[in-house]
Amino acid sequence: METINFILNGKEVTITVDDSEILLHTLRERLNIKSVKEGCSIGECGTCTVLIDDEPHYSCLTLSSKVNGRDIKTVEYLGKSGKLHPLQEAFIKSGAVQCGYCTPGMLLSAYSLLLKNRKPDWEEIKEAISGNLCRCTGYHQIVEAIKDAADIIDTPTHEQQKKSPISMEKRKKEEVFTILTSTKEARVYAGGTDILVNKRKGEKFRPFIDITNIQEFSGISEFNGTIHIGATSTHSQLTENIIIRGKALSLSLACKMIGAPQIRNMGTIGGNIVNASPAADTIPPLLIHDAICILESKKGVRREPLATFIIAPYKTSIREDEILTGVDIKGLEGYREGYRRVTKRATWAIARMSVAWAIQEDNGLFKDVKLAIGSCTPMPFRPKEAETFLRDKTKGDETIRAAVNMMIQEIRRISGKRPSFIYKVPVLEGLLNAILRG
Amino acid sequence: MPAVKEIDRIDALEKVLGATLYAGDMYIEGMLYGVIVRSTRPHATISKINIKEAQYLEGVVKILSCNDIPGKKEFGIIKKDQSLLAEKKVRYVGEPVLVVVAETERLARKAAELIQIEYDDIISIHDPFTSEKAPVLIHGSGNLLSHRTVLKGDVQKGFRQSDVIVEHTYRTTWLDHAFLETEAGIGYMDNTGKLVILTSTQNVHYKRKEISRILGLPEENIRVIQATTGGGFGGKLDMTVECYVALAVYHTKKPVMIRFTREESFLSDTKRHPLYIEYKTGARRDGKIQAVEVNIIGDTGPYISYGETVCLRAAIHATGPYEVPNVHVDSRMFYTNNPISGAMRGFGVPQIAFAHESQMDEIAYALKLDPLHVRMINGLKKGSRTATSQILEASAGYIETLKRLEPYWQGRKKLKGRGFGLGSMFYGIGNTGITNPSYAHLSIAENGKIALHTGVCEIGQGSDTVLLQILCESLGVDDKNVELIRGDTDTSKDAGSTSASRQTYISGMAIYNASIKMREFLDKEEYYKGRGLKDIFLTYKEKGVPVFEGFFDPPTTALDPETSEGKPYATYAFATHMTEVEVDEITGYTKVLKVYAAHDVGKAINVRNIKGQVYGGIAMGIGFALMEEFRPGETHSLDAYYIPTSMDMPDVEVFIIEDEEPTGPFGAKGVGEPALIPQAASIVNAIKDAVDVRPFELPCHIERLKGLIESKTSK
Repeated sequence: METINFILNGKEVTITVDDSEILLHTLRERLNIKSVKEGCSIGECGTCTVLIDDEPHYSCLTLSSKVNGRDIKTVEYLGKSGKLHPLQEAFIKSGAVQCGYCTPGMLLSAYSLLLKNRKPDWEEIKEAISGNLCRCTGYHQIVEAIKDAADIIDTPTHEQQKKSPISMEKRKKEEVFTILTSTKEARVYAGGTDILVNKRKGEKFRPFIDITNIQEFSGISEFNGTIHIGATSTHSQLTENIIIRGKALSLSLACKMIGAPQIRNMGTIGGNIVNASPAADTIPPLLIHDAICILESKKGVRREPLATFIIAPYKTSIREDEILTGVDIKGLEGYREGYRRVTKRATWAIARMSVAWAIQEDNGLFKDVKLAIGSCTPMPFRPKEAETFLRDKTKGDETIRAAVNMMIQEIRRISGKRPSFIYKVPVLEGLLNAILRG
Repeated sequence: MPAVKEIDRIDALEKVLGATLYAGDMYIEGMLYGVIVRSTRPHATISKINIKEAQYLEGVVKILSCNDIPGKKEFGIIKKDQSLLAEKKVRYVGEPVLVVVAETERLARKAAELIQIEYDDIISIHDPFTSEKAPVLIHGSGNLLSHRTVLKGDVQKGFRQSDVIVEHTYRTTWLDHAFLETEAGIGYMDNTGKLVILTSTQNVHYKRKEISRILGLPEENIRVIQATTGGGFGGKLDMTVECYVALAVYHTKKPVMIRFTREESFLSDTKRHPLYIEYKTGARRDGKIQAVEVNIIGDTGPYISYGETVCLRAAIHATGPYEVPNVHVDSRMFYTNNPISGAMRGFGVPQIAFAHESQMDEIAYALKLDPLHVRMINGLKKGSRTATSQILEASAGYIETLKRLEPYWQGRKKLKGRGFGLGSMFYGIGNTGITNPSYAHLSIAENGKIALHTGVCEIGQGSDTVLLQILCESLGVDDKNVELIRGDTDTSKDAGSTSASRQTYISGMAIYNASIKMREFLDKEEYYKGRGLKDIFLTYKEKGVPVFEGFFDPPTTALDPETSEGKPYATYAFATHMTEVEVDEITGYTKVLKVYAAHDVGKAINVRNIKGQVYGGIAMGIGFALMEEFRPGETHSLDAYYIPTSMDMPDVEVFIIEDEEPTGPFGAKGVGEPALIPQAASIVNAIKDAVDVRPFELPCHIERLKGLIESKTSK
């Protein structure tokens, strides 16, 4: 049990919540905010969307304790009868509402977009609402409505981003290590996008320790060519960060493609690493940047290369008393970098396979080639043999074909025969060919 | 006829404010929660049920079994073949066995988990092809649910006259409605002793009948009210929570809520029927179709639901919107122990459209003719004879849908990796060859407004708004002077289900007919000369305000049991979609770039609503064509069942064609299902145009398409 304070639609709320209570239930069942809907409870529909500090989040995957000191908005904030927000007016006029179940969440995602981008184009709007499913409208009239509303809203109004007036003391990291060692089976919680889904799917309850409020675990900085990424950096932060975009573009691109906008606002790089899914999007880019995991405990700091930190699918060498507090990566300059993932749906889908690359070329020669492949082996991996082979080779069909073959052989060696390879091998051949060609 | 004045959706304001309460949002002081305990076996007899641990959990109020059902124990929308709670036997994974009622939802779920049911497994049948000859009978009487035939002319003669014959097999799989609001309902006893159920549904009057049977209570003692419904698409036609809520209220005398989690919804929701379609088409050199022979095999699951309806509707629509002189269609539905399949937007027609449209293109390819031209010369028009030998007397705008798209089709520019495809359809509005009436009545309410009472359920598609528009237009009154009282068995007569794209046409006409009577009355009372409605109300207050009833039942005939000859529907909607796709040959990923959609709706009552239906239908069609696939035992939630996001939607242009239907309100027909039906077909044809491979199985997701591309290159 914990007593928390937060701003809900402009008013301060104080409430005592259970350690495992999710924001969706606090809002619906205890604060009677029924506009926040329950559609799936695993972050796959968007009907429970709320704004936390004006950014869309799934309240079904947010622990209530996490919103302590923060600003929460639901659709009630937007307007009242007789005094609608231009978005609400436009939704009515455009026919953007059918069954209405997605509408509150959809409006919140749109509202958040317009705070950041006053004149979004059609594609930007589609992207902004891509974490809110609608089964009725085909989205067309929703996008139209948002576009119309954006045209009306000319001058910044009361919607100017307001920082939460409740000032919260940041937690000390030592405190967390103490709780971690004294709580049996404790589980570190940051974004919640994996562990709360697993809990829903029947995983045994373990007490959560929230680390999002610890300054030392956040932030992105660069020193002497090494970029330090705090473990609680969200995918959204990594997408936008200027250092990452400049010197680790593949990571920024990968983060941009993860899940949906809400997931990117919630999920952290630390969580993505420790969850250690074979399909994790950040891992291939981190591998080509020679990421070193920083693991801290009461006993001190341990540094381990990401390549050895993950030991099996969903399994790492992290100890029960340790927290992954960040990663150090090497910034790359003068490389052509990229990230590609293959999915069944345009977005908001698990990667069927993925490739990150950083390639340095000079005058028709491969100088340095770094590749990392996801979802084809138990853990994403670097085809080192092929990388070495390509060094200083002339860029040509023969060389590329030989390198691709080496990589496929290596994958077959690691994974053995797999039914999924009927699909994956030809796709990977095609992707690697295209990537190396550039 | 002139355009009908358009109004904003009447429910939109409340919805954008977030103020709309759906059934699962409701709360009544002291209410209990019910959770259904379901079978974990596909086919078994129940040998033992142990509820001890659950029973004694504090806060558990009741655990109900089949022995607690006071009335009839079976239910079913077409036939009563499904046990409300399994007695001895279960026939699919997810079949309800018990209902736990407890003080909180969490407690009810916990108790449900503590219940142990032991089973003796029976051999289960999962393949409709082996079902017929299987040694095990799912019900007493054979595993063939239904066999329907459509016969016209002489197909053998037709094939002999043909210069080209195209023959292929097409397959589709289970789809889930995936409405965003899962099934939910709440019930209570009102102060007159009436049992009231508020529920997310597409048909209140049917639900009342079912509850009345199960409880053995007269219908007058039961009131079913439609709660705001967060999408239906056919999945809220069958009984979902209603009888369980009613049973729990009956036994506890307290308010009870049941709402399904997404996982429960996936487990229990009826699915789109997977169909296996063998299709043979013969055509002359000039492209004229001479004969069509079709063999449809369907998997209906263990209970009927709408299985017979889908079996017949797929057969009747098998030839598509084309006039075919010689037709032989066999359509069979088999029982299996797979999930129950039922109604889903289009009742089998989206599946069969995938087949007939693929065939039309194949004929065009074989004869080196333009696919649009082949459609044009075979298309149904006024005076055509359909496969059931019905003469189309009016409102047959199919050719017009082609003409509207022709400039875009002729002007298409094919870029590498891209392709264009056409998909056409026709769709009979209303139920098939049976009576399906709607009633409505009008009166003046005390507040001085004209009250429209209708049993029509608004499920998000916009019927509330459209019906009010029809009322306003036919009465010549402003929408400020009318109010809608709908979806409540106590205040309205049966309007039939919100399904088969029938409400605008049928209930719209019932309202129109009521309006004609009321208009005469209002004229006599000098309303049109400026007299107020309140004043008229006061004149009649003592002796009773007159009620004007309207009724409409589309003129259809029963079909011949052998040949299906007859008039299954009074009118048909027609549509063509033209789709451009881009296929990534490396990954097999198809991106839908652009859709031009032309629909003959008879008469547009509300253009925004029609477009909303078309955009939504296109989205669902993209899901059907490219990604949606329910896998029994593997699909538990939306993380394993992808439906299109905003990023999957193409740019869309909608063209509305108005070939007025004389029997419809202002000439209107329907568009709800037609919006979806041609979309998957047009995508498949566009894929063929883009990468020269033809998908025969849906969804044509990345792996399936890559496989086709690979086998093409290795040839």
